[in-house]
Amino acid sequence: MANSLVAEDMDVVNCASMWRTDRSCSDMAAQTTDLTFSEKEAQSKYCTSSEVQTEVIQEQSSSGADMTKLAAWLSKITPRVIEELDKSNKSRAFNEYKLQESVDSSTRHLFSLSMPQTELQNDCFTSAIDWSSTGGILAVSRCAKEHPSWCVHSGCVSLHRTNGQECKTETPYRSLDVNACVTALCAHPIESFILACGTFSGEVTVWNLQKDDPTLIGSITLHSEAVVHMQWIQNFDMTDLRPVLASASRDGSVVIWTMKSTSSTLKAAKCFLLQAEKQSIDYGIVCAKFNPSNPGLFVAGIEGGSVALCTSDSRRPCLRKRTSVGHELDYCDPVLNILEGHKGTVTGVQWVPGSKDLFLSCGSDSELHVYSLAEVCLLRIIHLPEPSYGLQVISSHPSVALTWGSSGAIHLHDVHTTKILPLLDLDDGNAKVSLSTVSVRTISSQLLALGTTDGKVSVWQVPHLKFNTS
Amino acid sequence: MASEVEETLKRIQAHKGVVGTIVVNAEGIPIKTTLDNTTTVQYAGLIGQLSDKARSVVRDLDPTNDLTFLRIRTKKHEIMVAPDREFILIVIQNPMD
Repeated sequence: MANSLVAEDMDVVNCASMWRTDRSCSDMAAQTTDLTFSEKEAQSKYCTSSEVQTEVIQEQSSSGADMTKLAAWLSKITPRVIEELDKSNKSRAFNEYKLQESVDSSTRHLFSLSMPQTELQNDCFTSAIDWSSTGGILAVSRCAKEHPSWCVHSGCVSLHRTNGQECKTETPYRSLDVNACVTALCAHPIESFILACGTFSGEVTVWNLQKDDPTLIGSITLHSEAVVHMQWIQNFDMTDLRPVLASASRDGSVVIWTMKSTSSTLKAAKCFLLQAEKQSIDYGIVCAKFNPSNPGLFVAGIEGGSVALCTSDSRRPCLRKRTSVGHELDYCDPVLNILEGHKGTVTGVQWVPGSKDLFLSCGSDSELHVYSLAEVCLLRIIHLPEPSYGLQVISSHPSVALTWGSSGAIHLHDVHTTKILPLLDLDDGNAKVSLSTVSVRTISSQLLALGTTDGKVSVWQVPHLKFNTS
Repeated sequence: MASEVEETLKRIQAHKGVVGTIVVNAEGIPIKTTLDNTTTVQYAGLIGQLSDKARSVVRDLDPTNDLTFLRIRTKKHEIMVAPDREFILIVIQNPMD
């Protein structure tokens, strides 16, 4: 038993690993040939400079003016000028003169206009306001808030007389009856007695208000849906100085109307139709504006948020349509470019006054877009404090854009620097109502007529100081 | 002759209260000035237009009449315009001096 339990030392047995293998590395030369570099001259063109200036430029003296004549004239005129300067220095004519300066830097409510008694008393908004070219007449139109199908209302345009400071009666001195709700108004820029309006049913009407009994110049229904914009533009016939009328409609059509001075009849001269399928855009135009300095260009806000740059010089026919009176009209496709638009509805488009290059658009997505015509692109986006209901510009302050919305306030923006300027304080003591339209008086940009979504109109005096961008 | 013109303009410029003197040719281009470029171009363009308008008003009122001198009193300056067929002399004076 003892022998069986003897301690025994066993030799270490080497057992080869099955999962680990020895790695052996050896250098091998894979490079077959040594790299060689050599430089070669590849320049095949030789340039030499030679003098090509054949004439020595002579410095012109004072833009080529005849110095002899000038010296003779100056010597003749100088004694009189010096005499006048002395007179002016010695003069006491203005010593007691006190210049009456307008120191009133506050925004003032001037007057309000009441709504005429109509069937739409509590169910309408102010659709359009426009000042006559002399600034003495304010035309106001209202439109029903809802149209389930076609318009069965009888519309009217109210005319109010004002001297720019007050309006003697709140009620209109004249009302012009129209067959449907009025959606757009436009006073003639030269002849203050001519007024054009567009209706919800697509009818375009022009009146002559010169006589006590207004004369109808023309009334034609060529658009099949509501007219959204009307504008008197420079005549494309350069020999005729009379402006022509342009109207844009929700049905995607734009018509340019001429008035024959002899017969005073309205006639469609050019027709355009947006080719929605071709351009991959929605059909209807919701707002439009012709370039004041170049009537061949206009910009249109399209349903769905697109902004289209269009031309009225287009000669691409797209449709031939027979009118109700039997005439055949050729429609052309006006679209030049579809630009980066808004994420909501486009509520206003405007050209920057005095600039041939810049135009603006605003929308319900609370954005104001500044576009460049030269680069055909969106230059900058200005974020608005609230969704905008409309856009307006002031010719005396071209850098400023006015937008308004549900708060009832007018927001001012510097379109060149994207700076938001102080809000226009329009507090007349009443509860704030959303604004639907704003019109700036042409001859004095200090007067603003505001239309509200409950059909009221108020006129405000806003000092120029408020529009200063600095 | 050029020096004679310069001398005359200096004489006017040296007069009491004169801020600047501009001579404009018939095309409305400034040919002599004592003011900076921007101001000169502005004055030449705008005063030229006003002077033409004033002259046509005077002539429309009476075709045998003509404009000889135009003085514009402003809050800051007095602008004197001496128009002629070929040149317009504009002198800007500070009446407060």
